[in-house]
Parts: sequence; structure tokens; C-alpha cells
Amino acid sequence: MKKVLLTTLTLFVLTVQADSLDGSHNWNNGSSDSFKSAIKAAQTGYKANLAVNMAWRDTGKMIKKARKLHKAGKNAAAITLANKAHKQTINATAQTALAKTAGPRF
Amino acid sequence: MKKLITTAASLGLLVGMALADVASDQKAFIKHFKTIFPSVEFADYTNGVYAVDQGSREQFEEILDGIPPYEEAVEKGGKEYLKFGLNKCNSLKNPAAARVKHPYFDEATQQVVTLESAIKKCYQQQTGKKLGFKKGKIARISAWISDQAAGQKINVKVESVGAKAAYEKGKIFFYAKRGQFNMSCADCHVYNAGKKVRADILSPALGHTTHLPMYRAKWAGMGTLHRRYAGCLKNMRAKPLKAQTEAFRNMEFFHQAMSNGLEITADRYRK
Amino acid sequence: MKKTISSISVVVTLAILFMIPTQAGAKEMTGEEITFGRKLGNCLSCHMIPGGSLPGTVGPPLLAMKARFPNKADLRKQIWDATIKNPDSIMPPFGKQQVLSEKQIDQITDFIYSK
Repeated sequence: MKKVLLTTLTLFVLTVQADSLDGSHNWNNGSSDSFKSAIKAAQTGYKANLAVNMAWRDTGKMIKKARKLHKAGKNAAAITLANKAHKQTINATAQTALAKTAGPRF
Repeated sequence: MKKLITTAASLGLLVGMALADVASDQKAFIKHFKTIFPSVEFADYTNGVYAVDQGSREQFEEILDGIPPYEEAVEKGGKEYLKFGLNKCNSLKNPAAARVKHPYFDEATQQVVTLESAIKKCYQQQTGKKLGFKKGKIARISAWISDQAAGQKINVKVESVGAKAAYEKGKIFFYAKRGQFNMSCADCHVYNAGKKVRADILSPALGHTTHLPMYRAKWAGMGTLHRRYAGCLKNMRAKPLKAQTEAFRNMEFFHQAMSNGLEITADRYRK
Repeated sequence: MKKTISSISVVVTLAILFMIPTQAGAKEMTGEEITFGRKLGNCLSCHMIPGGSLPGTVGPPLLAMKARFPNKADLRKQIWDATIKNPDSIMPPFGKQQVLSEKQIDQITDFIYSK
């Protein structure tokens, strides 16, 4: 009886533990397709920023890391990061538009 | 016929307006610094940040009075200039003249040629080897060559249509906000020159190019202008460009032209 | 029975110990730490702030914030994107360009607003 109780309890605890881990890390959520479109958008934006010398410091690193996460099966985290990188390229593109008329204010 | 002349004349006017006029640009640039530092004389901008902050100037002068940390490196650069046969290249055989001539716009290639790009090219012709662009040998050699022109004045000429276009691109690069921090070179070194970022004083862009390459305490060594450009871009969280890429050469063209008339100095120490 | 109870309590204690890191995550940073941290807000690089050392002088001192921003949301907006008010501002748009998270901006707003 004692043994059964202990085993059940331990199992229960481990399950809760695993659940909470999963919840906080969002592992294995999100489809591979949505990663592909997210990373493609980031990559396209980054290439365009690079071509006009307006890329940001960390975008390339973020794209690399997102790919690594995707490979490791951490799809949700990979998508989040790819989207963040994409957002960076959108902001950099907005800067590029403003840069065309940049000049002294005196 | 009359119509044609009018069209041609107005076109000419348009081109003239669109293209840069270095002299008037520089006049406005100097006037801005006169406004924020009314008591600093134009010639003193050769001393960079030390022209606008007495406290750091005293430290600077103490360092110059001792054995400046760049002295050995510059001397070595002189030996390397001869050792690698850089005196055999037309572009560098008169080192003082070479410093004053660069950067210039080369009509044949339609590119800005900087002193360091000329050193690299000559080094490769003489030794068959490649040379880095940011520190070490190229910084030492470039510093030694520049020392030979100490006391002469920066005199960048921006005359042809191609030269003006390159200058204009460099000027835009200098004033455009970029990177995750959304900053431009001018944000710090024009509009906020003399102010403090933590304990560091922002140096005025006027006079920046008079003492490069420099020995920088933060680097614990020598570095070129383009090394500093890359570092500044990183600070803005923009992706640094490679030294001597076209965009950087164009910016140097503009940046140096803004210091026209200032003396080149051998006092190449910075914090 | 007594033994069973003690075993259970051991398991429960262990379980709780195990849960702590996942529940709380890394130690929560305070608003002050985010405001002063060089890799976070780094607000001192340009602003004097009471309690911070070696401030810069690029931006205005962050004092009497309640008088300057009667509406706290306006202060948050200024930190989130200073270029809305002034497109030429040198201040990084911390929220718009995702330098900091929304939560970190809330914490900085709270901290600065208390000055």
C-alpha cells in the first residue's frame, strides 16, 4: 500500500512538473509551415536591409538561432524568434525610407 | 531655340541645386559648432574632444608630455613603409603629399580612394599579400604616413559630378538614423557634441579626421577611421559594414571634407 | 502509517523544491535594475536620475516626473517611442523597436514616475 501510494504520488508530481515546464516553454507547438513562412519573411526583409546598408546588428543572429530552435523541434520558440527578427526588418525598412531625405537640421 | 536655352539653363540650375556644395555645407557645419561652443577657435578642432573639454585636455597633454602610447607603433609603421616597398608606389612615394591628397574621387573608377585603400593596394602589389583594414600594420603605416603631413591642412576636393554624388551619399549616411537604437552619426557628434554619455564626452565631428589613425585606450592599440565607424554602428545596434566598403569610403569623403582647413596632427591619442 | 506520512511529506517537499524554479522563473528584476542596467534601459547613459551614479547629460534630468507628466501614460508613451513627439529625438524607441519588453517598459515607467 505504502509503495503504491508513493509511486502514485511521485508519478503525479512528475506529471505536474512536466506540464508546467511545457506550459512555460511552449515546446512542440506551432506547425512547421508557419515557421517556414515566418523565417522566410525575416530572411527576405533582412536581405533587403543588407542590400542598402541598413540592417540591424542582431537580425542575422536571430534568424540563425530561430533555425536552430526549429531543428531542435522547439517550433513555437522558433516562430516567436523568427517573427521578432521579421519585425526588426520592418522597422529597418521604415528607417530606410526616412534615410533618403536625411540631412542636417541647420 | 530660346525654349531650348531656357530648358538647358533651368536644368543646369536644378542639377546645381541638387548637387552638393561643400563650401556652403561646411560653413553651416562650422556655424553650428560655433553656436554650441562659442569660445572654441576653429583651428582648435584639430584636437577633437580636447578642444571642448578642459578637464580631459589636461589629461591628454600629460599623456603627450610623457611617452605617448602610439609612438612606438608609428615608428614601426615607418619602418614597415620602407620594408614592404610602399615608397615604390606612385600613390605613396611622397608620404606627406599622399596624406593630403586622400581621400579623392577617382574619375576612372568613379570611386572614392582613401589613404588606407591606396596602402592596401600598394602593399598587395609589392608583396603579393593581403592587408587588413582596421588595425595593426595598416593603422601603423597609415599613421606614419599621416605624421609626415602633420601641420598641413586637410583639403578634400569635391568637384566633378561623380565626386559630388559620392559626397552626397556619404552625407546622407552620416545624417541617417539607423539600427535598433535609431541613431545617426550626427545625433551624437553634431547635435550632442560636448555632452556626456555616462562619463564619456561626445566628440565634435568637426576635426574628427585630423588625428586618425589613432591610438585608443579602449582598444589598447591603434585603429583606423573605418574601425571606429564599425564600432559606432555596433553601438547603435546597426550591422557594422566592412572597412573600406563603398558606403564607408563615401562617408569618409564627406567627413574629411567637413574638416577642410584644419591641420593634420600627430597627436593621435584618444580615450 | 507514520512512516507513510513522512515519506509523503518528503516527496511533497521535493516536489515543491522542484517546482520553484519553473514557477518563478529567473529572479524577477526590479524597475530600478532595469532602468539602470547597462544592457537594459541604461537610462543613466543620458539622464540624471536620483539614486544613479555617473549620469550622462544628453537628455534632461528625470526629476519631478509627476509634474512633467500629469498623465502617467504619456511618460510610458515617451519611453515606448520618443520619435512620436519629436522625429529627430536621439532617444532609442525602446518599445517600438523592441529594445525592451512591454513589461520592462511598465517597470521603468513606474520607477521613473516615482522620481
